[in-house]
Amino acid sequence: MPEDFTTLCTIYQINPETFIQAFIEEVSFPTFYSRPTATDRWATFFFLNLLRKVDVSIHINQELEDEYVNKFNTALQSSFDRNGSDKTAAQSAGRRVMKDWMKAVVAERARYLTDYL
Amino acid sequence: METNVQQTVNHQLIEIPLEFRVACFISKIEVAEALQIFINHVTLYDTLSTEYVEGYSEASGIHETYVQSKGLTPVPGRGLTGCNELFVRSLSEVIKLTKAQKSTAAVKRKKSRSIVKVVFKAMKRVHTPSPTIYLDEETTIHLSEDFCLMCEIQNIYPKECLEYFMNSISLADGHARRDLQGAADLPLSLFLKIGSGFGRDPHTRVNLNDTEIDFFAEMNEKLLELRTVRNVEQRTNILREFYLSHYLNMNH
Repeated sequence: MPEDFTTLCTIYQINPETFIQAFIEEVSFPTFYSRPTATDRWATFFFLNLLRKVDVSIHINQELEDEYVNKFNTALQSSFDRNGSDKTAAQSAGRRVMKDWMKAVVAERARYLTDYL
Repeated sequence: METNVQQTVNHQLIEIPLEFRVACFISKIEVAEALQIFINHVTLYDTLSTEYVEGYSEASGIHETYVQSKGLTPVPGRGLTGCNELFVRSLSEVIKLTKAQKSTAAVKRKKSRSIVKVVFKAMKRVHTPSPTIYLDEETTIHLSEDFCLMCEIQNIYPKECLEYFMNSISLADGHARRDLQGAADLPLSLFLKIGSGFGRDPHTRVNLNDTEIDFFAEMNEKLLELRTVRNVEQRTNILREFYLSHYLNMNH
């Protein structure tokens, strides 16, 4: 455990597990992109920044990212168009696309492995 | 009655593109300082050397790329016709220097400078009559002997090359591409280096006011959020508008 983190946790009496749980609950593209002015966006900012720092470009299929991110944007947009400012509906629509993206990524990885069998 | 007005291009008057001003403003550097750092790193030595040296390789490369982009067939520098023999001899001396194994690039560049000085004194300055260029009434930039010689060799005016450099800089475009594969081009790589302190006085203090601190916080967030804008042009446009409005807001 890093010193600065434990110091803060001790001072403010926060259980490290509580902190991590709270943090990961706020990492979300659907929530982040449907509520651009909300104040609970830091965890997702952290995630986005991490993507830059570790340079995921080697591991990620850019074509899939392009395809699904565009689908994601469209889903959010059309949900807002249909349901007004209903953020929950937009988030569900976005979450469905994220799931499809994940499935596509996993299928792609499996294909990559089985092709060499 | 028609009068025949002869139009002359003022080769001393530099036009500074708005996007370059914006880029300098956001990078907290004066236009003159950015141009001066570029000029100071264009050298005959680094143009001829194949070794990479931070800043020098980019700046000298930009000068080269500009000449190539003009698509002219190389002709002997007009300013050098009177001292051609000396020039050819000096050129081969500098080439020899670039191949010398024992010294460092800095030492070899210094030696090359004294060779350049001799040619500089002997040549006719057709394209670089004055070593000083005025950006406005109060701001000047100084052309180094190396830079003047490079302009005379290629028959180009400093104005052309400086404007080429400035026109190649778009912070919005550079930032829009930063997550994408492929290295930044030479002008932008040099500019980003200068922006992060390269070639500058390390004691320079950057003071930000509250509006600027807010701007940088917002900029950093925006750059991360833009991950879901997959079209580079779209990203660039969003950032260009954002940077420009900050510039106009601070400079009205």
